[in-house]
Amino acid sequence: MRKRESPRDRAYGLAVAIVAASIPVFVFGILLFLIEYSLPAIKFNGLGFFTGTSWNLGDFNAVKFITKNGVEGLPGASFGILIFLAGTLASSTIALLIAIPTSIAVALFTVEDAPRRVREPLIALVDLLAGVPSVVYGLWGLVVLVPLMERTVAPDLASTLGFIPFFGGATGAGYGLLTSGLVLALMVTPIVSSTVRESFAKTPPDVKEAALALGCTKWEMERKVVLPYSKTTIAGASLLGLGRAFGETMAVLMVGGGAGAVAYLPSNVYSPISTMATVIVSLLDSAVTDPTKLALYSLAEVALVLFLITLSANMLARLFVHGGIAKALVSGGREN
Amino acid sequence: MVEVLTTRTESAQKAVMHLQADSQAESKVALKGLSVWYGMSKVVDDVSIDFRRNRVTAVMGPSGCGKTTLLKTLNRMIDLVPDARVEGEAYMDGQNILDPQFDVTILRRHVGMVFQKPNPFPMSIYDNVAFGPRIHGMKKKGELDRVVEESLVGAGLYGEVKDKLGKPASSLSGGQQQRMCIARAIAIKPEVLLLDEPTSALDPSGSLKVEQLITTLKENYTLVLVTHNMQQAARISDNTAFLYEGRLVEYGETGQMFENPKEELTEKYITGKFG
Amino acid sequence: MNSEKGLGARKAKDWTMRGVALALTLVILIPLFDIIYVVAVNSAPALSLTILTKTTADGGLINAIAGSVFLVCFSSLLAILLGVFSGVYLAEFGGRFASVVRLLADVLTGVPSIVVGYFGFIVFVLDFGWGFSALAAALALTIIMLPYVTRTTEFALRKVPSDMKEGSFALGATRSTTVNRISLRYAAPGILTGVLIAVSISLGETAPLIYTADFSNYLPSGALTHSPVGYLTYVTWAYISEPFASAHQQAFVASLILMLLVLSIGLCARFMVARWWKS
Repeated sequence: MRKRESPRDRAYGLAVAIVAASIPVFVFGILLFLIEYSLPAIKFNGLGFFTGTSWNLGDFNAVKFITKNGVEGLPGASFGILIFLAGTLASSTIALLIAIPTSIAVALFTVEDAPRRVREPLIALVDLLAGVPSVVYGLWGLVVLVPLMERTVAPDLASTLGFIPFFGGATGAGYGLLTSGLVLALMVTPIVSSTVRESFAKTPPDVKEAALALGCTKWEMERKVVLPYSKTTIAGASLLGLGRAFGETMAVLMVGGGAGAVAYLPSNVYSPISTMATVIVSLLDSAVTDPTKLALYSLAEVALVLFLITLSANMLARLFVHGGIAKALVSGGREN
Repeated sequence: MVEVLTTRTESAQKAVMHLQADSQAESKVALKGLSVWYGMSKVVDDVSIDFRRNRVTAVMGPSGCGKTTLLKTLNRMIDLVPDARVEGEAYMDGQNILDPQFDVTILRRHVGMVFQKPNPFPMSIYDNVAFGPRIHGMKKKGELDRVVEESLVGAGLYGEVKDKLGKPASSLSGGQQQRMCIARAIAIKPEVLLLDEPTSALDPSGSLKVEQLITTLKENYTLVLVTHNMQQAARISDNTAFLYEGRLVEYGETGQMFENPKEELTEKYITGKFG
Repeated sequence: MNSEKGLGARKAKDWTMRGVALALTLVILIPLFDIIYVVAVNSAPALSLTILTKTTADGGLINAIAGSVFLVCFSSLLAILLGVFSGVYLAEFGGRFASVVRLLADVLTGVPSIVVGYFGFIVFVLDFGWGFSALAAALALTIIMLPYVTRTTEFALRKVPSDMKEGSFALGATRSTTVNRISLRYAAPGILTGVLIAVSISLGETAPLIYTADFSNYLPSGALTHSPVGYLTYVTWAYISEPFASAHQQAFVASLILMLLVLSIGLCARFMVARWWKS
């Protein structure tokens, strides 16, 4: 017997399929727009875009535009993002170096140590941390972390760990790489931690028991059984966190010290930074004034590179954690 | 002369009389008036049993009779159960292992356990068997190699796996995995081996091999076997304890109990007239 | 028997790790409480009716509050319309196209919000000629909310017991009737949870709005295009770097309102999830 859909059902199916097509439309819309819009910049900037350290709109008083690879620009214009790329990678790396062990510790405590009555409230609090708006993180970083960093943490670190590369030298005004890394770590930890926690909670209890029955201490059991069972999830969740850190704008804009975009590479962990995400905000106002629009095209190229970097982190993560970031954020760590 | 004197034990005094059961073998672990609660419900009720050295003691009874709980108190895995409460004593070589002061890590070093379902660690066969010795401080490659081999031989598995020790344990069949779990348990040279329905998840040929292994293991270990399979208890155990609703109904030599049970409940159970 | 070589060191390590896990958990929670404390203490002196009666130019926040509510409602409406039916498609009519949509929904959640903001600025504000406007801003927020609403709707619909659907089919109901009358109704609390999470995310967004909504010192005009809109996160970001104490207080009060809203939405969602899983 063949199942026939009624015409009404077919119409309904078609209608919801069309609505669902809005998602591909948005994704490809953004991607194709970025590619098309940044094309002149890609031609003009070439590979120097990644190695250049100056973002210079050129001479506004020039009478004649120059042409490079068929694209018009102001004389002296050069668009290089090495500094912002370095700021993005360095702050995200610091964030992840702090967030991964912390997330694992929080997840272990929640699953293995916390008394049952404390568990649910603890999960709720960590979820709440994930929900704090990024400007509020920025505000807190600005009024609490920045002064703390300037007065105590940075000078102390420099005097005790100054022998380690990037830890010595001028300690700055509290804004910068390390402060950004700390705020990012705080923002990323709840996301990584809830994904990892769900995985820890699914460790086969009989295998955990087998380890304990052989006389393992709890930590030995965790290290030999719980962690190995979740190692792909830990890798995937870390990549999800990395994607978030790459794309974070407001908090880093507020504590990175790079308002208006910094013009030199970070020399140590206290240096002010701009990231790919923050310069889009910082440089858009000036870019609009470029009569050749090349600055706008170049910002589109920044956005495109940022899109592609976060995309690869997320796609890689998707290989490890099923359901990807949507599930990690939406389920908020509820076991079900 | 062997006396089997047990009925429902009401007090610890009667436990003394159990000592006379199977008197050729000395006592290894003696439970005295053991009771266990999960929250408000009492799942083990005033049980006294004397487990004998170099014997297989089967603990049988219908599901929910408290036999697995009883087993879990012997290596204090019961500590992991939230709101479980234990009363009574369990003497192993004269020391009360239920004393909170008694270190569970050390206890579990001396009391091995094999679980219902094979539960290999996600690592190689070698690393699985070497797991316990490593935890307890054995580091030298030569020593570890020897212990792994001995344990696998002891578990009757060596011939089947000697060429693939580096393969993941999950590549073994269910029966092989269970024997590997036994090898893993005996690798730390325990004195007592607890077996919690070790064949319930295996096919008949896998079960047979594990049963044969259990009978050979008693040369070196004191074995406690929890089973709901009466034929299995009859085949491979020396002594049998019959538990019903948390209470010890009867305890004695296996042959005698199956041929001539003292208690009506026991008789009903082994003749399958349990209602 | 009660001793073993090396056991002391193993125990010590175990206790150390227990301590580290507890300590790091506290280290993560302290900032949460400190954020709430700092925001509350710094906004306390400024808490008065002025916030609700005056605009940001006169020391109040009413234009930002109204603007945020306007933008969130507008974008939620769009996101719910698109997201719920996209979710229906994914859960009920799946096919090869569905797995593409699912993948792209995941891609969309990963797109940095500033990229969406840049896209919105060039395309909606400049190319479409809408200017800084509620429409441009709400569409940017919709893009961000859409994948969350879609995926939670899909998850929720998949939890509808199949016998419930079969019961409906057995009565001769068509697929569309079953989805509309039975499945969506059963899954409603789950879908609402996803909507709440999306609302909470969009409420806290800044980056996609800076160059689409711009900012306005006036109440939303109601015009959809060519009319900038004020919103709370902007006040926090911009006013904290003003040199006046009163501007700082406005920044803190804006944050306090944001935190209270995010907190209550989060609690609401959690409560609903708990009830829904139970039933």
